Amino acid sequence: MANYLTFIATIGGIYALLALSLNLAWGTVGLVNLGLVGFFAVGAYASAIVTAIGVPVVGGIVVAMLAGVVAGVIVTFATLRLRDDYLAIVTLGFAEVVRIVALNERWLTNGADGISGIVTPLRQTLGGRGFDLFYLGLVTLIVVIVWFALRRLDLSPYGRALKSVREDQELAAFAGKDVMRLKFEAFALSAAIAGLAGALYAHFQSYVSPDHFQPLITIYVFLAVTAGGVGRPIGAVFGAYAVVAFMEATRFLADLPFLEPVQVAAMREILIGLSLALILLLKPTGLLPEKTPKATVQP
Amino acid sequence: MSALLGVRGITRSFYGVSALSGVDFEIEEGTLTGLIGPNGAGKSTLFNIVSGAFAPDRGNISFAGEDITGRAPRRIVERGLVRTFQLARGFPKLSVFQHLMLYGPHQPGEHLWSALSRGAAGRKREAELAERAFSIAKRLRLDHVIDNRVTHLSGGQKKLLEIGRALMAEPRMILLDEPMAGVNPTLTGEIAAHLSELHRSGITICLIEHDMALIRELCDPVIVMAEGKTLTEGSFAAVAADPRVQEAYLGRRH
Repeated sequence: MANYLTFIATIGGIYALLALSLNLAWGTVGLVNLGLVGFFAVGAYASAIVTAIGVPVVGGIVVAMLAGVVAGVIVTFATLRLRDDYLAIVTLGFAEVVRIVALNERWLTNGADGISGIVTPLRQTLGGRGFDLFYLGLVTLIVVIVWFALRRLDLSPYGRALKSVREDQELAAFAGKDVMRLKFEAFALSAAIAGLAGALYAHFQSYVSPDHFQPLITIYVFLAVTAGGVGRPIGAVFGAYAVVAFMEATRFLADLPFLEPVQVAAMREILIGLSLALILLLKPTGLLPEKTPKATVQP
Repeated sequence: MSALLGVRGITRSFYGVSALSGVDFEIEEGTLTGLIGPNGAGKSTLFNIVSGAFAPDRGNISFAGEDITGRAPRRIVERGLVRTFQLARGFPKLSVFQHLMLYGPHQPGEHLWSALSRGAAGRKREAELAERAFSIAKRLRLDHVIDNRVTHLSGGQKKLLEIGRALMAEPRMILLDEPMAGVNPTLTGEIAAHLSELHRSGITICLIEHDMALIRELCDPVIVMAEGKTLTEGSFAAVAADPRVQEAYLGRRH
């Protein structure tokens, strides 16, 4: 049971990073990224591939973040000037392209079989149990650091400018803001965080395959951010852990005697949908809604 | 005196329908100029072109001796030419204070690295801007609603905030698009008093307004536009006596 909880908490941390990434792009600057899982996959594969040829794990993580940024730049390059819904369409397509490329370019990704035997840092020294605890600590620490940095951004003049772009980008330009720069930077940073989450996932599971990067993950992260509170970093973190805990808890439905396994699977989806609807009915702005900072002379 | 704002030969059409067909005028530094004309004369379209919302088909605009035709809005704001909107616009989830702060120029804290590292320059600038924001809020009597989201302001307060925001940008000139439209007479008087005070403090103002009593009281000179063209300009008394202006407002005699 303790092993299982450690596993859930680690996966929760990885979802928290994805939620922080989405909250920056969508919740703060208003860029709808329906292809979050694509950036997650790019990070996972990038780190898996470079660590296989001898790059240390830390280097792999850095490469994964850079790969996320490069992917983000490619995706936003053509669409950032267009209306926002185009970005949503293009990112959605991007994630599928990543998955299909991973499925077909066997020389790079080993196709549907996936990449196995990805380096798991310090596993030999710490043993299985020790590694799990170490990795949980590592992921949690990274979540705290990323949350802290994004919260700082959120409260800074930069965050204020990002939110003005989210609310009305035309008016933000008349307020003297460089709208293109703000969108571009925020999206790139958000993609880097998704890439980081991907690398952490790969080195935890030691195995990645195209099956791990289904569009449903993006939906779960949207759910996490919406339930937690759009536009507030701690809300995203909280929402992510809550969604993972909820999804895992509903697994135990399988023990109910009067349901077939197929019905259980369907029940889980229904429950997840219902609970989101319930949260949005009772607390439309999420469990930890965005706050408006108070006026103060000393920032 | 040299002109602060020069508008020369501006034409613009939308999908083949001409909105502006030759607007020419100059605004001297330090004036409070009224821009009047019947509905559909093209006044707001002209403001949109001057402030960089879109480029003219032909003609050019100069500000403080520099050609600003077709520049991006933020480039124009940087030079000290700021505008307000007829229907008070705002960022729904930001507070009055955040709106004011957002318009503060030269904030190094709006750069990614400076924001992450909480650089000293950004914090110092933020403190300066906060002080200005408080004093502007006080002057416009918005200090008691400073933490409210703009969606929780009355129509009149929104209009005052439009003016406050423009002031935060340290403008040399403000383009005001109907700042008194739809507000009660008491507040109209209050806004008029704010405008003359700003004008006295040295800010050049160009005002679109339909309330002729106000135009007479505040503005000199007055520029008249009709059917996408500048018709005439001069003192209020002179333009009001001009038969062409009367014709534009009341229609031709047959």
